[in-house]
Amino acid sequence: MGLSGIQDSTGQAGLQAVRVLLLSNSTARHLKETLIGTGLRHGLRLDVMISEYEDPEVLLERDRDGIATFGPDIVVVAMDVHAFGLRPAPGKPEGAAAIADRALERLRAIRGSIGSSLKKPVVFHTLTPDPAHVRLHVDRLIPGSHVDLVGRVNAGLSEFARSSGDLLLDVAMLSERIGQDNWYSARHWALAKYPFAPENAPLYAEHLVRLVALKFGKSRRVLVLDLDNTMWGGIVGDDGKENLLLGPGSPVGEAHCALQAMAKELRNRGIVLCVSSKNEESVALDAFRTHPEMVLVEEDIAVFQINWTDKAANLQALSEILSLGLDSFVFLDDNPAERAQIRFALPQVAVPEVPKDVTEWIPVFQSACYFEATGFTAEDRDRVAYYRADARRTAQLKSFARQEDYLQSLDMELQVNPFDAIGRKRIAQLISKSNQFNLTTKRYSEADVASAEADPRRITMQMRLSDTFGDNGMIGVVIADIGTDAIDIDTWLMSCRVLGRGVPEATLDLLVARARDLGKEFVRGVYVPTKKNMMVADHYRNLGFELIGERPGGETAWELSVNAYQDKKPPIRIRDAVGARI
Amino acid sequence: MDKQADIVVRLQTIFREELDLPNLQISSHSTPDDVDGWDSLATIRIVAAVEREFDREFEAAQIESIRSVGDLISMIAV
Repeated sequence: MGLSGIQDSTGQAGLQAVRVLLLSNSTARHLKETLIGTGLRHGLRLDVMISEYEDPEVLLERDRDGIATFGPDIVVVAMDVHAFGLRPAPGKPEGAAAIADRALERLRAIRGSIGSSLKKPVVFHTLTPDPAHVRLHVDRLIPGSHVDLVGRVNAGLSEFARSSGDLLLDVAMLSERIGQDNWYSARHWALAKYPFAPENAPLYAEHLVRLVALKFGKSRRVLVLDLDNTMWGGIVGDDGKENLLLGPGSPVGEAHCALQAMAKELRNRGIVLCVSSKNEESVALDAFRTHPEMVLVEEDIAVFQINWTDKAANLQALSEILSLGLDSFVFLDDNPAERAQIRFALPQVAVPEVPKDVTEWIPVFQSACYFEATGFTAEDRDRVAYYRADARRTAQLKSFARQEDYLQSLDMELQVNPFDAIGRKRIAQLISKSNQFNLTTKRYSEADVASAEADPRRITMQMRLSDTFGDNGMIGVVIADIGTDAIDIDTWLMSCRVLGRGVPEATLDLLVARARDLGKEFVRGVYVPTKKNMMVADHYRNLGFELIGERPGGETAWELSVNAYQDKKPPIRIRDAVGARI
Repeated sequence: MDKQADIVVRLQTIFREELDLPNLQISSHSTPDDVDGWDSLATIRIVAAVEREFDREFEAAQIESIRSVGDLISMIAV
């Protein structure tokens, strides 16, 4: 199907209509559909008029009426190095200056011609060297070499665009990024005068459309960063501040530092930094403020949202607090499920799909050029302080309405097994390490785990959760004692990584089923407060238990009646090997 | 389906896509004269798509000498 159909049907879809006139000295018509398609992704309905294989100044004169009828909103002067010749004049500095000046004079004249008839914003291309010319290491030392000429034109063009207020599409940077040998296709230049290899059309279109979108008010201004395994390596609530991977000494620690340094650079460009993290606020903020290897400091962050609510709710709150639209947000988080939730709930937020290995994040993040700008002013520099001062108020957290749909889309499967020899080590590890989602914080050794495994008066559960993103590994452990009239929960802990996914509800369904099978009337549990497990203080209340006792020190005892219990049935498939054995 | 017929089916998909003609029917005898919009630049686009589809790369001289769908088929079928 052609793209013309899409154009017609999306007229009322909230897309902004923009007419683009693209003037190319080479072949360009093959770019049209790629540009239109890319525009849709940026909220633009592009209408593209392409003039190809003709000098722009000739076309502007010859087709004055056609251009006026089309009525472009923006003009792209897509001239590549072939348009200017730039034949080397090695060893002749004056000659080199004259050649570059001629090219710049031409660009200024084209700008003048567009300005007099259209008064529309213009995008210029920087030049990337023509691979047909000799290119040696020595060329940078030789005035008048081809690469010297290209450098002179790019420098002059940059200066010109800075003063004229026009936009630059830095084709030189794009071709450097992917390599000039990959940028060009000599075969396609010879066959059809393609200015670059056809497979680079999507890359070119992405960057050009980003600039066009920017000119029409669509820009990214806010970077929201997660803390655990994003800002630093490790989980501060479980591992403790002193065990975080941050700073020299480990490749992961260095990568997190580098990421912070990049964020700081963005902040200095006027990008508003925020933190959204599922954590105990005091614990996370303490690490942020006092970890000696932190590159970012508290003042760099406009707003901290540290709580246990879902991240879509937190991003919405951030948007309200900052009075900046969600379409100006970029969300960086190591957890693919968090990223998916944001994409699902708030599709207008940009969510980079970073690789698993944090050392590889920066190139992926940088290649997207999220925070493109038309320039840089003193106001940009001071913007962050302004937002910080303005962000003292808090917004109401409204949980994301379609949470259930999102959970369905994750296609989760919970595999529940009794303790066994294979799981023993990992179970003991979770028991000794989990601090936050841990109701009693009882620590058991591997030997203790083995004896629980063999004890017929105990119910043991080890839980693994898999979803569309893969296997999350072992994420939960339960140990319960079979009493006379009840199942008494001795240990219930879960990895915070799978918070908000319905796992506790599924676990309780299983425990109640077990109680029914055994003819018990109640499920009972206690909460023993520690410095780190405040997040589960209301765990039993939230699940429908009744408070039956309180002890000094804050310990609480809870009871659930099995008869009155209605299964919660969260959207998780259960593969239960514990029940099967009883 | 014999090999040539299979190639024609895949080429037809490419021609329809590249020329934006959803009902186009081609045969090995089709030439630029019979097919709307099949000019020399369209040939380049079609060849780029053919190279992707069949995981091949053709020489400029071969591409230059394409005068019919049959020429394309014989390039692919080598």
